[in-house]
Amino acid sequence: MPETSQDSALVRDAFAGLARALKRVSIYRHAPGQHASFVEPVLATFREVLSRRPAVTISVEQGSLTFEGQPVYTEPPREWGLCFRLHRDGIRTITFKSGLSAEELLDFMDVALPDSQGGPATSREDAVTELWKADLASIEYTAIAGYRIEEHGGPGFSQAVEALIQRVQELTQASGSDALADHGAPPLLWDDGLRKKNDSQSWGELARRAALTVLRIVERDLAGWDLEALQETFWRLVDDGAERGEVLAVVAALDGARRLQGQHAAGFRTALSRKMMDEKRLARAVELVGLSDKGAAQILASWLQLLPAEAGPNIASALATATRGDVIAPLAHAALVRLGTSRAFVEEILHRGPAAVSLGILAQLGAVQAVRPRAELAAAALGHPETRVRAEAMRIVPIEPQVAVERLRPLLEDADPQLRMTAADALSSCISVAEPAALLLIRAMSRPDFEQREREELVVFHRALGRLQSTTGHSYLAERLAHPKKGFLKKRRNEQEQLLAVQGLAEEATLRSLRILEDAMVPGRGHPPSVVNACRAAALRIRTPRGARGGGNQ
Amino acid sequence: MSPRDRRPDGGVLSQVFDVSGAQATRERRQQLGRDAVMALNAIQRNARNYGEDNKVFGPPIAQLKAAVMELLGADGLFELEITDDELWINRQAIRFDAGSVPLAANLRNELRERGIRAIVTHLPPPDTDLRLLVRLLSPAVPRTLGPRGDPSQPLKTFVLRTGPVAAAPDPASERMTRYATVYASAAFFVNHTIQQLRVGGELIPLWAASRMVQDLVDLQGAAPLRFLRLARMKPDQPDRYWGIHAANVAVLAVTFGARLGLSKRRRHDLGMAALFHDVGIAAIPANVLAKQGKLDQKDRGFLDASPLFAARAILRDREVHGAALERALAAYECHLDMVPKEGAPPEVGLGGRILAICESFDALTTDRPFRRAHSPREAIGIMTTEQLFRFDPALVDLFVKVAQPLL
Repeated sequence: MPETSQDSALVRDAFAGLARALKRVSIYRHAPGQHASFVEPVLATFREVLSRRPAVTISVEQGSLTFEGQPVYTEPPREWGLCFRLHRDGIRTITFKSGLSAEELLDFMDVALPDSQGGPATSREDAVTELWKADLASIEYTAIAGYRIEEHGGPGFSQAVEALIQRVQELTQASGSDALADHGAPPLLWDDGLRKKNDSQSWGELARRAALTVLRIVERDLAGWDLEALQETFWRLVDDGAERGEVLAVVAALDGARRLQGQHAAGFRTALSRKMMDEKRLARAVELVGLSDKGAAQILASWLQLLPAEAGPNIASALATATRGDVIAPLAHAALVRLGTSRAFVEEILHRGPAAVSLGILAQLGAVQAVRPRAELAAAALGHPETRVRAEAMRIVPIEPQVAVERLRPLLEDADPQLRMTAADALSSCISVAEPAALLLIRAMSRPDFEQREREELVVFHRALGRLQSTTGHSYLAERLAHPKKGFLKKRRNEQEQLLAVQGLAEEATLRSLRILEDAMVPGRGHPPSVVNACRAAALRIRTPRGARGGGNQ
Repeated sequence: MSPRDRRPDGGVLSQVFDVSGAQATRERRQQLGRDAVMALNAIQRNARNYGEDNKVFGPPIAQLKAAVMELLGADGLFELEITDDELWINRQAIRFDAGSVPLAANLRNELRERGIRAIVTHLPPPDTDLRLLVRLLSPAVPRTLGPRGDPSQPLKTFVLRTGPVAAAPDPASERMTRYATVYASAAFFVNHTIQQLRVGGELIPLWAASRMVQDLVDLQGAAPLRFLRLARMKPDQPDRYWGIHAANVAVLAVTFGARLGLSKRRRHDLGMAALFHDVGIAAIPANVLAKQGKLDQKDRGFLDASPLFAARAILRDREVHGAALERALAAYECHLDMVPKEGAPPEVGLGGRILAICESFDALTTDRPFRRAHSPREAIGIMTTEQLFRFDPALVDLFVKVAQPLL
């Protein structure tokens, strides 16, 4: 292969590798530690071609980079493309020279990295300035002479500048003309240590102070017709800060916005919050909580506090995919305080969302002030596939007894005995709707298979029925104690039935239940000794003042 | 010399001397220039006897190509210029040993006879172009040469500058013109920006200011003392104060930054911030600025707000990269007292602390409507005593060393 063709092939390989590396760097922007490994193969190819020739000069065109007239990299001309940006900013050739290092290549890639698609085009300086600032020894560039003040100064430029040039020249001549040529650079006043100590401003630090400066301008009513532009700048500081993981800067900016005073404060917050509610941005805020940085936990709270009422669906959407407890809790709280827009979504998550999320929402239900919606939301979780969610929901639903009566019925007949018991227990607190609740319990207890269930469950149901203090429930229990079902070989079962009724009546703890129990103790009634003893104990318990019983509720 | 700021037509736009400057690079450039001249000379001599496809041109073409490629690699440019009595390679006069001088003179004459003033390329030349050079140096060359040589067989990459040979520029004079031009452009930029902000007109784009500050930083690196002396410039008319003040602050700040050993990037940030640090005065009524007596509360309110107006003028551009933020913050923070009369000390970055000192020094040494200018020594005296609360004391001490040539 002729030498030039071989070089062209190598340069093509190098740029194909560079394109791959750029893609990887743009994907892993947040992991700069890995970037060096991305450029290693590219560097090796560049070094190979640079060992064969002293320099490789690439021409920059709108949609391609060419080497000796042959394209080595092409892309559709689009605003965020590498070639387009370099060309637009005036760069026409780039020369890679021998001695190229990985650091230089990485610095070059920082400049060459395409703007994020659809992102703000103003998040960086123009390519010529960036390359000039990078001050790369082994990568040079040529730029067109345009983009200079001469082209933009208007008709008055030449005249104004000429007059001044003359005065400056006179001054320079008066102070010693060219004979005063400098001899060597004067000594430095700071060493590396002092420089580092005095000049270590990170982007985050600058962004934080810039955001607070924007707020100061707005608060003092100095924004004038630039208010909208300043709002946009502030948002970009927040957005870029979130992208870069500058948690402290974002938190400071958002807290500042929340405290902002003045006649434009409300409008400023509204404009900001509408941008913050975007699903992707919200997802990024959620992601940041996972960072180990200081303040990471605070960022989501600060973010959510500013979101408008209509952000409910987006918050719910973020909530649906959340996995961390410290994310679920604030998101759930934020979704619940925006129930006007989030209700359907929250109910859906409660019904079939991940268990951890559903439980998280149930834990935050206190954020909903009104009792009925709170109970209804909890009731939505009664259909959740996971038992622990349903159980937790059942503990909450009775805060609104009507809802409990409406929604707990199916759970009394659930396949899971624990759930049946929890449901019965939950219903037992619905004193204000005691009669319908008692009917539900009695209906469940009248099922043919009820008597075959574990004793623990039978006890829970009977006690629940008693606790309701309903007329229907009382009659049911009294009947069971006084007239158990008769039949040969059913003696033992009847005795058990009576004992369960005693427990229910003891739980009812009313005068009427006391009378029934005392009546059952009369020897003439012919009840078994175990039933009589149980009635005695129960009667004693009812008569004993609650405070004197010891051991709390039984 | 860095060639990036040169016009494609070869005119010097922004720099007239080598600021990249390593001696080794200059020597290498000399050698490559000599190689190119000797190769062209060999081509020209052989072109009298052989056709352009003859193998005899192989070695000189290869030598020329190697020199062109290396210069392109080093400078991004190959530019062989012919003056009355010299040959220049990439704006550097080529020195020849005694044996080579006649050969160089021969080539110079041959090229001048053909009206060729310079041979330039920014791109690696293909072999066809090098062969076309043989044709151009042969006796059968067409009478009229265009920028691409023979119009019937144009060069692809090389550009010929034709016409009468210009006199060699006077480096000292060009250098002074360059300093003056960049300084004057900076002052113009600030005055223009303030004016346009007042009327809501179209501003000069930032990239133009950025290129200008790049020039300032490069010029400072090339001749620090001469550069610093630009800060002695004072306005001859009150309405030109702000532009010259900002240009002076840029000169002082870039110099201060260089003495502190700050990177090129940071010096550029300082220069940009200096140009913008007073644009907030665009929001202050002209009569308040020109007032000679004591300011009332309303006037004082305008002045107090002006630093925030400066920040607003920058932050409204929606740019959030580090340089823009540094610019906005330095422009605002340089007006804050380091030890305020009440409240906690403000957060002021290094840029703001440097600009505060440079801006006060220039303001104190300039005539204002409300007072006469102080001498530089008096200004330093004021800054280190009664106004010290405004500054970072450690930086003021260092600034005294930096400003020594002005005292």
